[in-house]
Amino acid sequence: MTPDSPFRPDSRAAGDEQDLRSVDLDGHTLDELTDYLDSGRSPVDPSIENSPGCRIALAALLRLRTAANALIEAEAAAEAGKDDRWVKRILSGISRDAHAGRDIPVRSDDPAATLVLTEGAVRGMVRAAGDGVDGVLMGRCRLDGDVTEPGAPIAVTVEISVLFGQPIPDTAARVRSAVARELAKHTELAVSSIDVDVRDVQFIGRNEPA
Amino acid sequence: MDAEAFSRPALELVDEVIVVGRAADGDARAFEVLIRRYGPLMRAYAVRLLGHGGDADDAVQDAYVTAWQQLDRLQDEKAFKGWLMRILSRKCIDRIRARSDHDDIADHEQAASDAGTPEAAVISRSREDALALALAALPEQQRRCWILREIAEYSYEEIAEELDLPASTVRGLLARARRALVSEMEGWR
Amino acid sequence: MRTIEQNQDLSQRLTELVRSLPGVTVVYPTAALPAAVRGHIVSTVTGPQEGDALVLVRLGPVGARVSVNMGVSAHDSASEQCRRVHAAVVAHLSAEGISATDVRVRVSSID
Repeated sequence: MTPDSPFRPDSRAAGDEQDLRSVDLDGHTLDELTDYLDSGRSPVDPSIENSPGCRIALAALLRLRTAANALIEAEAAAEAGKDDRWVKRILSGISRDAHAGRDIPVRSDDPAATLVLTEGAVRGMVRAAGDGVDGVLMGRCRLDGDVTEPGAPIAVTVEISVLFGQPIPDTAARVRSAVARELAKHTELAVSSIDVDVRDVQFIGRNEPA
Repeated sequence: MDAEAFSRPALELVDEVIVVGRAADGDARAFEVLIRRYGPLMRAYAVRLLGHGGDADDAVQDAYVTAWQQLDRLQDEKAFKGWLMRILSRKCIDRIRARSDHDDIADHEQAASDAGTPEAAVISRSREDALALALAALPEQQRRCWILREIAEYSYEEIAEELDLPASTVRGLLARARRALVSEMEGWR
Repeated sequence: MRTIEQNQDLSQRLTELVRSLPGVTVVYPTAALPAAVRGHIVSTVTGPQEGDALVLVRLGPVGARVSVNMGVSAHDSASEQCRRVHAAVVAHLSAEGISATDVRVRVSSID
């Protein structure tokens, strides 16, 4: 520490062999100030907010935090788009089984038969049905109810993104009927309701064959 | 809108709730969007924790495979990035543990000193460069604790648990890291 | 008493049968057995040719237990296709003089 340093040792810091270079924190420590930042500076602590040293240190800690995220982002940006092989490598390592979900029974007259559609297959089919509606991109699909029990009432919820310019109620109705039609065609589920939740509106689409 | 052409919102552009929801339901194309979107960030983070080399890439790959398997259990789709970073942190920590088991290096506290001097940090071009240098100069344990805290937003208790350290030690390591970084970043000599 | 090799032959025939049925887009490996057991059977019997015998067959004293995992076309009802595959498998077994004690058919994708 140099004599002209505006900082002085912080006596409350834990034992540290390094020189401690601290602004006059009016009795506070950098740790306390970090905790205070983490709390969103709420409730307001006047003994911190009214201390010029603390305010300098808070600003420095904030800059450090911003720099930390900026550093990772900058490194990420430098990496981005360099190489596609790692994307393929990850995709090749993931398995379809992971999202099979529950077994949805299919009726059979043969007592020795166990016939099922996986929940994952049904969700995928519902997704394709909704994607087939003009201006719609499907999100999550949920089947609430005991799908493993024949005849149990099932509430279906789908989330969608729609293109700007589509009348939303009409679009939602078309998604609902497309989903209902495909569920009735492929499954024996007792669908009690289909809720369409518009989560997002987009201004840019993409032309793609249906 | 052209009434003839079939058009829909682009997967790369829609709200992440939609993308994560599709991936959670098993849509590999949506998951690919998430790999491309966060892969470089995850890799940069893993490199900060593990250093350059194959380890960081493997950790990122493992993290994505785990994310794919567990995505349907993620309740809040908006929390995907933080959730993924948690998974990756765990994968990195596993590797750190495996390394210290193998190498039996008692002292992870040695600092990489080249170019890590405060002087170099002060004259560097940008704040990020300065931080990169200052971080490189930190002892390894301090650096790990600080990255887990500041980037992955782990609590002190979680860091302690993950790194098998007493919470008081983590607090001390973080305090030292913070003072060193603030000093070097701000030129507080 | 049938041998494991005969199990494997039957499995290959059933795999071909299921693949040939209209609407079946893909036959997946069946993971009904623990992977270790399955790996043992495959490695001792067929080596790397796992892809040819994806329908799982276990022959017991009273008949066959068969497990099919597949994808079907969205063009036709998935449930109907599931029943048709079941019927085709039972008919095939019957033609070979084998009774079916347990036939599982799982649809894992509808495209």
